[in-house]
Amino acid sequence: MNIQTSRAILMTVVLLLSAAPSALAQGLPPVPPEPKFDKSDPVGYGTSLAKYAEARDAGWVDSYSKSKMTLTDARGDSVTRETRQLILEGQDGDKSIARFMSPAEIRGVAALTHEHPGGTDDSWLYLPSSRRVRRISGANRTSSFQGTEFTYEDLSSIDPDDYTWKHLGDEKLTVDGKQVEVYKLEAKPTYKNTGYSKLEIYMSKKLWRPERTVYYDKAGRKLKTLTQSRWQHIHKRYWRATVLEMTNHQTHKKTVIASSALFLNMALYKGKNGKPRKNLTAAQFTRQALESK
Amino acid sequence: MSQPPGSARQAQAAPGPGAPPESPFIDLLYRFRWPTALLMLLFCAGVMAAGWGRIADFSQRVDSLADPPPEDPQPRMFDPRSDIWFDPNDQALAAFYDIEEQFVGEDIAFAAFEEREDPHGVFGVKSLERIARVTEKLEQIPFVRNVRSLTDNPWIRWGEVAPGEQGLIVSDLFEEPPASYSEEQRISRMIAILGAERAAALIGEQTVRAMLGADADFADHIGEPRLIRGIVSEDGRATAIQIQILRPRLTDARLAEAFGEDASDGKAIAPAIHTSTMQGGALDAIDAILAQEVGVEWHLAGVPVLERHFPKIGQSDMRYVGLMFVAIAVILLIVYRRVGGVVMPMMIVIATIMGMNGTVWVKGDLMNNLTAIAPNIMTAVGVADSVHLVTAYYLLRPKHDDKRQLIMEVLRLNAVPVFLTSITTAIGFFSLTTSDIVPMRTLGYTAGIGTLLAYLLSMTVIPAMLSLIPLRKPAGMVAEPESLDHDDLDHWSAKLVAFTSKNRVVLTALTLMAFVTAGYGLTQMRFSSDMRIMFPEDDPVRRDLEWLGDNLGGAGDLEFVFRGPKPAGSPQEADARLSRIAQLQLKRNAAEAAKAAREIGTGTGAETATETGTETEAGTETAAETGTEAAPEPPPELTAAEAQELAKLESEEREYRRRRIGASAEFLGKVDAFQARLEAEAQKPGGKLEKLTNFDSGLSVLRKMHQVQNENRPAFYRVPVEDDVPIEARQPTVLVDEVLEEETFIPAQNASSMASQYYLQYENGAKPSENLASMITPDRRSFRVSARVDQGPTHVLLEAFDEIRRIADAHFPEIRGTPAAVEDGSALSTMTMTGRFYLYMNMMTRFVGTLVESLSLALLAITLLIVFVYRSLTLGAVSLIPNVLPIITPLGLMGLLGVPLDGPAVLVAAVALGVCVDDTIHFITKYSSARKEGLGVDAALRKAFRLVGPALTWTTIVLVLGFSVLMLSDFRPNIVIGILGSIMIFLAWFADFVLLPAVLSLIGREST
Repeated sequence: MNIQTSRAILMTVVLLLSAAPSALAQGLPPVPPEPKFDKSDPVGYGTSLAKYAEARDAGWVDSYSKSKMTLTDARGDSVTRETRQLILEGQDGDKSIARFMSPAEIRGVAALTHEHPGGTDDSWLYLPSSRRVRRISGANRTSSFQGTEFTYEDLSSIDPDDYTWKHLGDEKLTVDGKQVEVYKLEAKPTYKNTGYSKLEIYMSKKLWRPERTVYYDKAGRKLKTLTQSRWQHIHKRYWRATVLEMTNHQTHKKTVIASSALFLNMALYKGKNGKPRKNLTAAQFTRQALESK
Repeated sequence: MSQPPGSARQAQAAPGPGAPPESPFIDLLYRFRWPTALLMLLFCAGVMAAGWGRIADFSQRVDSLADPPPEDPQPRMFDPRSDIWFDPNDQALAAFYDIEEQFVGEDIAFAAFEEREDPHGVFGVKSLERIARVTEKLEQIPFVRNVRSLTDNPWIRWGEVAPGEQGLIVSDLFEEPPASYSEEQRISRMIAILGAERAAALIGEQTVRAMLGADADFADHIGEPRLIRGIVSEDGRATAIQIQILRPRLTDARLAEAFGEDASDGKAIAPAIHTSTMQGGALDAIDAILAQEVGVEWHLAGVPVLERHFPKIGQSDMRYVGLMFVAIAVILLIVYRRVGGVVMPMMIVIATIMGMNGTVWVKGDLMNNLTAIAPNIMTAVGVADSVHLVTAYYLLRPKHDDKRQLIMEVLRLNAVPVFLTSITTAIGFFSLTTSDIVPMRTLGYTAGIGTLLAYLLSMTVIPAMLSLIPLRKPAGMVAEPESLDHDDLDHWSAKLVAFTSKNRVVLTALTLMAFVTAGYGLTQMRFSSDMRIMFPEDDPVRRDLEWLGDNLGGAGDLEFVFRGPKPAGSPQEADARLSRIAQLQLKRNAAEAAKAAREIGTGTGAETATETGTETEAGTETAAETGTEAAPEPPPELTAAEAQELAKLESEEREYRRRRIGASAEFLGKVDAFQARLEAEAQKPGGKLEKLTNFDSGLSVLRKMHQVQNENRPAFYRVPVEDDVPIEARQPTVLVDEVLEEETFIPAQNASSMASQYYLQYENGAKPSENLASMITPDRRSFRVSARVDQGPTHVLLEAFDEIRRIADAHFPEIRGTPAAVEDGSALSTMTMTGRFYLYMNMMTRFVGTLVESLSLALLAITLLIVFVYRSLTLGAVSLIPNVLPIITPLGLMGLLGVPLDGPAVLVAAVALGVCVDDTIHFITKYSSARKEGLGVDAALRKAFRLVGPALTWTTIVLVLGFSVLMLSDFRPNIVIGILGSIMIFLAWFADFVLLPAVLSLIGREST
């Protein structure tokens, strides 16, 4: 099991370059310069677009956010769930803790994940009702995240090397009533454990963030559409969507994840006492830390 | 021959009710025969063309909804909705829609095979590879939402997650290609799934012991109860792949795209057609995949498979309708030995059917399984109407030199009886329109309109056609011309009447006995039908269905929907309340702990303080400090107001939790016991519930999660109870969010929160298609338990359903409360049973019920009509003999012999009733007018027979043979219609020719 909520929610692909002298001043990594793309081959072009977008999103160190999930069924009835998540960016994979806050009957459930790119993630789950931390298997990326329309696969960051890319064309998309120029990219997963035959990603040309993603099931039928909106430009360096809306076209169910209290790189914020905060440490992402809660 | 035509006419046209001699109506009818005939024919053709145009337009719109659009579009004439068959007032139907709305709308098909050779049964590499291969292909079929099989099924277990580290694993049964597993690994999975006992029966105890250890207790290895007898047979030799096919939903926008904004009837049917097309496409794709898998015999079953089969077999039956036409034409040719005798009735029949179907289509309705037999009914009605006219024409022709006079006499003779027969038949059909069941209603108005059309066509087209026939003397006719008015005692009618008159007492006694016997038989009647035996024994669908039932549990669905009371407040309010409760409890606990510490002394105080759970991320020491040192300031106690607030909040919280049944330990415990009870009953061979198999619900998940959380110990394969929550978890705790620098209270834990957390843990591991949303609504107000049911006779299954309700009421009344009791808290939930299969079972009884009701109503109306028209109570009473006896005798016999009555048997009764009444009216009209001429009973009988005997006999022969053709069908309901229809129509003839004259003789003799 792969609790990567945090990553998921925070980072799908995303990022921007805004000329960022302020970011540089804060010690954030500079925005990589936009390369000259070879447009002759749709595959090569698509791949380099995806890689560049990925490269723009690195060096955020750690993050915190609150998320409110609204699950709506075909009839329009909905329920909400709330989580908070901490992520520590790491060279050999991120570490994250997702803690469930609402509804109250699952408040306190916490999941710890150590990602191992190319290997199997380590996961632990703490249930307040049994006061036990259990090691859990971390295999099924195609499983639903908390019964939402998101799977773990949807919520984990996209590693460009895990897909074959293709530039399908340039289009104009209407997002929040505004016209956005986008690259339409096709991404076919090359890893085995996937629920999809392909993804279609509409990536903003100017801001390098995915405005919309369409998922196709293994039979090649349109399955879901993810729309990201209410973007925040954190530290004038990283774009984060605070509203993720996933609609299932086959079941007509919908999940909306709205994030608030977004922090990237804790050290750049001041605490309530006015002193700078400290960055998160690996010690906060251990089984023992989970157990002591 | 002695009487001149004029006097014959006078005699014939004698004051029959409503047909005075030289009626201006008849005159008009004759004069305008051509315009009216052409108008009627044009009307029928026009309506047909308009109807067909509507169908074509409708089909095009429906096809535009399909994705991908069909390669070879077919006109959509058939209404595939299954819910139109169900009683709209049935609670079970509402619950069925609820499942579609709240959980998921899908149907399940099963593809199964067996492996007899391999020593490991279906756990052999070859079988597993086959299952994995087929499963993967099936998953790619559009609208297949989920596939469960021996290789792909959520498998929750306790095992080695990482080297040396045990943990909880949720995965598919075989994650990797089956060939990559060693024999040992495969056997260990076999034991995990089948359990040690069953595995030992398959591969020997030694092999199992070698895996589990020599002293292993087999009872510790119970296997996967969720899969046994569902996915894999108990002997491990048969396996089923469970294919969950969505009922695709069309959005309003898509519908509006194809149909515009107006809510026409077609718009209501279109989604159903879309669903059946898409599901049908999925089934065809399944067929194609299974066909590639040679080497095993596949069995495909399930409700969608059955539903697809019905129209298929219906279509193959269409050829018998054609054959029926041919048979009728041949008989007409033999009877009349004239082309006109064949052409005229067939013209009426064909025009009637065109006009009738056209009307239905123009109205916006499509055909259904019931209206599909309307053409057969119309054939009977149309032939009867026209045969009376045509026969009269040929009978009377020898006496006439003037064609106009002849045709007008034919009309005069028949106007009243044909009108009456049409009206009574139409009344019978229109009485069906009061039914709750849509197809019954459509059949009612369809056949009603058809009957009226047949009447109008007969009265206009036949005179027009007759006037084309040259008036020449016939050679060799049905009746000797002179015998018509001449009371010839050597004529067959005289001999017949002499016989019935002589034996009038015996025959009347026989009639009475028949009434009594049949009446008693009716009280013994059982309504039942069996989907399996609707098809011949060698029918592949029937064989697959029976095979699946025998080996892997049934293919029918039975759903239980438990529903709790309306929620009390929002989850947000509940969150806030729980936080406040936790805060107040913490304060109270701290004060109590300090008090206890002061009383007992230090030392134990620390422990108590810790137990109260006042730990925070950095605050454990603070809590310890409070306990260890004699605090200068003891923690404050709850104020009176706070204590009151806490009590109030706790009571609110209990009320809130009670209403979320899906996450309430109390409800879950009860429903668990109920499910366990049903499972136990279903295991009993010969028990009332033996047709039930394979229960599945959120409970199966909870039980398994609880077992796995407790290191896989079988004793924990149950729903958690309060004692399972550790003492220290029963206190609230404080959680500090370091980033936001705020405190959150985690409420005291209980069995309910444990269940919720298990659900969460399961959902985090299962495939999206396996998530709990298909079993428990996210608001936790509705909880679903699904079972599978083997096919069987409806009365057995309905008894089983009753038994389930009885068990619930007797032992688990809390979970089957009334909505009011659930609201006021005296019960936990309501319970509704439903499911497609369940609805079908209920529908059959309901179907028979409505039909019997409307039959009785029609009969009453018809009898009153006869009394009114002939102004004779006696005739009304005796008319019951030929009207009722032919119908109830076969049905009563079935009752006596214990043959259960099903839908078709009752339906054919409705059709036969129409024929019986027609015969009776024709006979009574002639008899009554002969009596009014002053003839004695026997003479009147003789005359009536001379006049209508041939026509009645010919229509009877035509219809009996027409119905007999249906006996060739492959579809049992049609065979039943064929047999019963023929018998009833023959009995009607017998009653009119033998019983009725005898009774009339007896009554007549008594009264004179």
